Amino acid sequence: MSRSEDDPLTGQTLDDTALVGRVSGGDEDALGQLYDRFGPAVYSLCLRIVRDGATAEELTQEVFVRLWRSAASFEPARGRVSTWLLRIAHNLALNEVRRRQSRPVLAPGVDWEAEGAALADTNPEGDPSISAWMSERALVVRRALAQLPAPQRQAIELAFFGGLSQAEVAAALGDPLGTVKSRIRVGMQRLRELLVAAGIDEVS
Amino acid sequence: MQNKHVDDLVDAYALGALEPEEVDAVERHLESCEACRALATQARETAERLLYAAPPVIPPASLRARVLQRVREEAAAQPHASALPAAPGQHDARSPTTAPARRGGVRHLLRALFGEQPALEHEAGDLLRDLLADPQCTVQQVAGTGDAPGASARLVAVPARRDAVLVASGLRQPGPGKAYQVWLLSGGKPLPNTLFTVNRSGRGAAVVHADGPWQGFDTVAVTPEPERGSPGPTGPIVLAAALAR
Repeated sequence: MSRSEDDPLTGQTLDDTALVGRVSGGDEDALGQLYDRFGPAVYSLCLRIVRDGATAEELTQEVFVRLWRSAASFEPARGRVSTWLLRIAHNLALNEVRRRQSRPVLAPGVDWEAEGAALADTNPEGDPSISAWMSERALVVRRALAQLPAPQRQAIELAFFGGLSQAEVAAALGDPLGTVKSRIRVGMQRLRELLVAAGIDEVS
Repeated sequence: MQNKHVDDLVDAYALGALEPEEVDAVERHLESCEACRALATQARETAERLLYAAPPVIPPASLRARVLQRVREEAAAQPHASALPAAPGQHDARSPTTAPARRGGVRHLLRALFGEQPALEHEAGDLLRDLLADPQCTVQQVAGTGDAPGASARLVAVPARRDAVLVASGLRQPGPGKAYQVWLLSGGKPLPNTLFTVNRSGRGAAVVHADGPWQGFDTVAVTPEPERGSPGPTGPIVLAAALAR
């Protein structure tokens, strides 16, 4: 699957970094193309964190306004465009959750794995409108995460998507702090191994 | 503590799951330990990959048009920084990073002062870069008090300008419904100033506005207050410093 788009004038392929370069020159069309590539991933991440569609839409808009403002400061050497946008989204969404002082992830009845599986069922990868933005990278990461033992995955997800500290994770799950600490440590180590085995650095 | 390896903490650190005092301990150790730094980098890379792990959900089709509309409004409100012809030496207060000659120096300063990622609000971050690019810039240490021994801050100011930036680290969460408030003291009388929050790592930044020349103020202090602010300090002072005249 190609993440590139042809320049209608030159017929040349524009990569993500080139599009960011155009955005820094004030090119709205380039920003629209970057939205087409990464808007859904940004929206999905925001939604995962804030659990509210209207807020996720607001945050997605804010992420792209920030891209517009600071495209000139993007440094390709420090990582890919998608990671940069998702990092901005992650920060903004966690700030929003803390600002509201609502910690929706604390709800013990929510089974994230089942939710994710249900979404995967309704979004078959064969549908081109979905596979067009669900990058190989996202699939590899989701598969690796799904292979972790549930308690390790849960602790990592509560910390990363819920913005909880280890102590808060322990309180939320009713587990001893030491247990949570070791689940996070062992889970991250295992995740690293799974990602390397899946060739994460070779996929886009 | 400083010499104790932090290999068992780097994963939680990368996930943002440590308490502020643990973050400080980890960061102090990483400054001097190459082995732990390598582990921390590895952990950060793994955590960054989790950014891709959210269950995929298709946004409403109308969102694209609204994103572009917001950007157009933004573009109309402020002409795009790099679309402007950059005159040599031109002082563009809004986007100091457009001056490439200065950029390297300011980035270097930012890193030296605050580490790799100062995690600042947009407004404070822009102003901070601008202030640091000014040859008259002063950076003053603000120490944590007995109520917050792990906290510290720097007040970055230019004497001729009324807006300064306070960058704090090592602060605890101020508690539910609370925020940190900055006070400038004039003749011993505390005058209410800006409010700020801290992130999970205990870092926060605030734009401090002086209502008069800086020489008229003798002390800067920070207290936890109700999140809407308070006319006079009610919480314990967590950060304070006498202002250099």
